[in-house]
Order: sequence, then C-alpha cells, then structure tokens
Amino acid sequence: MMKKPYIKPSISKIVEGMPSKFGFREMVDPITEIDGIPVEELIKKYGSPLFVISERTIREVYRQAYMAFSTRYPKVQFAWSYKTNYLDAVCRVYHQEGAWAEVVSGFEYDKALRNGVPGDKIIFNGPDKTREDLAKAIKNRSLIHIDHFDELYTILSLTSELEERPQVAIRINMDTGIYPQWDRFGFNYENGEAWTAITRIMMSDKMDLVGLHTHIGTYIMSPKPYGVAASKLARLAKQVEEKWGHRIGYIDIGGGFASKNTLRGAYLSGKDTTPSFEQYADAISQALIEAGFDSYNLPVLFLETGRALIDDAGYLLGTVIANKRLADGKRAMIIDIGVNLLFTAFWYEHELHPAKPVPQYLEDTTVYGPLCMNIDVIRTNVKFPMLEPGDHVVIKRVGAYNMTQWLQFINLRPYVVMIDMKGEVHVIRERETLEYLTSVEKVPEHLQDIEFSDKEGN
Amino acid sequence: MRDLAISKNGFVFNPSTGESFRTNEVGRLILEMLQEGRPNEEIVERILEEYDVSKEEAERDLLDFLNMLKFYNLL
Repeated sequence: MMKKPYIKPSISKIVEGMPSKFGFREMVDPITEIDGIPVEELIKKYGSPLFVISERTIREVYRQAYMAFSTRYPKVQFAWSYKTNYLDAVCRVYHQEGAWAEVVSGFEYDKALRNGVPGDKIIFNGPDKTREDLAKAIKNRSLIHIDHFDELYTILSLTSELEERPQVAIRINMDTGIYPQWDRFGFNYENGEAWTAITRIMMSDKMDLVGLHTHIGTYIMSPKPYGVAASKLARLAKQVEEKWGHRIGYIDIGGGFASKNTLRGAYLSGKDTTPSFEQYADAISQALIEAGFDSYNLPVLFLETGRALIDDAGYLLGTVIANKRLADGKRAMIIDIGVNLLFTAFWYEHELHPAKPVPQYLEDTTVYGPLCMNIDVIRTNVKFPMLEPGDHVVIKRVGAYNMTQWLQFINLRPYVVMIDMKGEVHVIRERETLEYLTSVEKVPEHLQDIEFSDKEGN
Repeated sequence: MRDLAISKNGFVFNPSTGESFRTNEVGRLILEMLQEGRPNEEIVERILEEYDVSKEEAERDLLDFLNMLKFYNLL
C-alpha cells in the first residue's frame, strides 16, 4: 500500500477575533525561482547565503519611475544614489538607463568616475568633502551641493587657486510638515539661513549657483511633504531670479521615497501603504508647475531616489540551520542570514519565503541569524511554515543599503550575483576569503612566532 | 487528556478550560493514541506504517508535539 504523504503534527490554540481582522490570507507562498532561475540551482552553484540582483527589475522599476515623472513634468533627471548600492554592475545599469551619479564621499566620487560617469554628471552631496575632494569636483565641473558655511568658505578659498568656476547648489532643510524635521543637512529655509547662503554665493561672483537642493527625510510615507518642499525651493528660485536676474537651472528634491518593505511595528503592510511613483510625481510636479516659472525656461527636476528604485531588485537566499523551542513554547528558526548581511532587519519586517512548496501549517516563529549575538534577529514574529534544517529560504526586497552597510562580522561576505535580461547569471562581487581579508592585516615582528608547549599546564 | 474532545476535522476542545485548538491529521492521530494510553514508541511505529517519513524525523516531531501539548497544559 502506498504510504500517505507526511505532514508534521501540529497544534495551535484558536484565539477568537485575532487573525482575520483585515482578512489577510494566512499563507506563505514559496519563491522557487528568480527571473526564471531556480533558487536551488543558484544556491548549489554559489553557496548559501547568496545575494541575487535582478537586472530586469532594476530596469523595469527605473522606467516606471522615470515615466511617472516625465509624463507630469517636461524636464526630469534621475541621479543614482551611490550609497544605496554602489556595486559597479548595479550603478552601471542605472547609468545605462540615463541616471547620473549622486555621491556623498570622495570614495563614492572616485567610484562614479571609474564607472565612466562624466564629472559634470556627478552630484556631490554630503557633509564630508575634503579640500582635495572639492578641488577635484570643481575641476571636473561636478555639481557641488554645499552643506554648511565652512564648506562654502573652503570653496571660495579654492577659487583663487583654480581656473574653473565652481558649479554649486545649496542644500536646504525646511519644515514640510513631517516629524521629525531633518535639519542636519544644509541651511535652514524658515530662519533665513538659506537666503544668507545664497546671498553670499551671489555676492562673491566667484561661483555659479546652478541649483537648489533638499533632502527632507527618509522613508517618507506621504507625497504631500514633497509638494511643500518643491514649492519652497521654487519660491527661493523665483526670488533669486527677481533679485539678481539669475536663473536657477535645477531643483533637486533629493530622495526618501518609501519602498514596499514594511517598517517594524507598522500596522499595515508596506505593499498597501507605500505611495506610488505617480503619487509622489503628482505632488512634486504640480508644485513646480504652479510656481509660475517661465514655461520655456523651467528648471530641471532632479531626483536622487535610491531605496524605492533598487529595493525590489535584491533577494537574499539562505538556509535553515536549526529549529528550536524557546522557553515560552514559541518556535524559533535559525538561518544562516544574520544582521551582518541583512542590516535592514533592524528597520523592516522583511518578507520571508520558503524556497519550495511546503504544507501551509503556519506557526508564530522567531527567526534568528547565525551570529553569537542576542540582537541577531531577522524577524521577531512571523507566521511561517515548518522547514527542515538544510531547507532554503528567500528574503525579498533587500536591494537597498544591505550591500553597502553589511558588516564583515563573524562571517565572510557571500557572493553577489546578477541575473541579466537574458537570464544569464553573473558574479558581480566575489565571495570573500580569509586571504582577501587578511591581505590588509599586518603582524608585528615580535608576534610572528607562536609556540605552544606540548605538555599540558606548562 | 482523556476529557479532550477531538473532532474528525481537527478541532480539539478542552472542557476543563473551555479552550479550543486546531490540529492536523498526524496531530489528531497522536492525540487519539495518547488518549488510549499508548507509549511513544508505539505512536512512532504507527506513524511510520501510515506515512512516508523517516523514523528520526517522526521521533523528533513527536517530541516537539508533546512539548507543545505541555505548553498548552494538555498533558
């Protein structure tokens, strides 16, 4: 007689009224393949854990975002936010799509140049630009977004040494109705500091004020503050035009659009609450169009969106190490993906999927990483089916920040592969090795020899 | 344990506390055998007869299931 398929014995208490408040479907779908490549095949070839990037998703999401803005405002330019993911292959996909580079350090600046981005298509943001960084950016006619007066004076002092006129914008912080208000970047709008900075630049007559920039915050769940920010920058641009007859070339609204990841502690899923590109685009372009610019001389709208463009394109594949019960009877699952690789687990309730179809008996589960640290929690509470040690899992939406903020801590960092438009898999970052890591270490002479005695206790 | 009402479609009612539980086919089989006072070895044997599973996995799952019963004060 054929034996019946086995399903693990399970029992759970029925709690009235709890699960179906929003009618959420209690199912965890498997993710068995990414862009047509079986997950099992990828892990077999490249090991576990493994970062996988879908070039198709990058391009599709980029085009969707570009379409949302360019159909509402005639002059739109995206600049790829390097800090969100600065793997060369990823940056080059964006540059091929037409995005410029937005960098926040000398290292990122050099990486953009190395990727073939012309100097005048690099936006240089951030509070930390050395004198050498600034001199290089001035010579390359990059767009320098001035963060504070000290930087402004450094640039002024450089103008006496260099022939090129610096192409600058100022970063402006402002009240857009969101809390907390970000005031650490740039000059404040409401207290007049921004106007003082503009005046200083215009009076110096040694640099070109080509743009105005703001970065109102991160993971902004409402399009409205962007409308407010665009209006305020447009007003400043108009004032500059009226006072000095100088036309501001672009308005840079920064980044901060939310991705579809769910924030920790959020009541509803990010997939349901995150505004679409169209909604952000509506708010921003409407504010700019209503600002009263000469319609033949509209400023270019710059966008530095990072997270919302790349998050969906990244997957992290891993393996179940063990299952156990916690002291209170709750199930715990240990996987080989920790916060060392998935830094964003501190912010998000990442979507976790089994890599093969499994019985849909779901139990509240805490998912831990492999680190010997109490903070190494990937999900504190997720309804998840029972997987066996050795089974594989897929974590969705990990494209933003993880491949830049990851830690080489306790474990070496794994391969990053990209699946191209034709379904070919390419390694875009090698797996780290002990030799790679120790190649930058030095051992002083007196520590070269280590001798252990054979006798115990001696 | 003996008082538990176990329905064929997997609902378990504990009359002494008024709590209800949901179990699956293998869970129901184990509960029924426990009610009959069968030892663990016999339960594992029965599971191996009926289901396509290794002895090691069946034993481990039984222990986990028994722990859950203790946790819910059903044992």
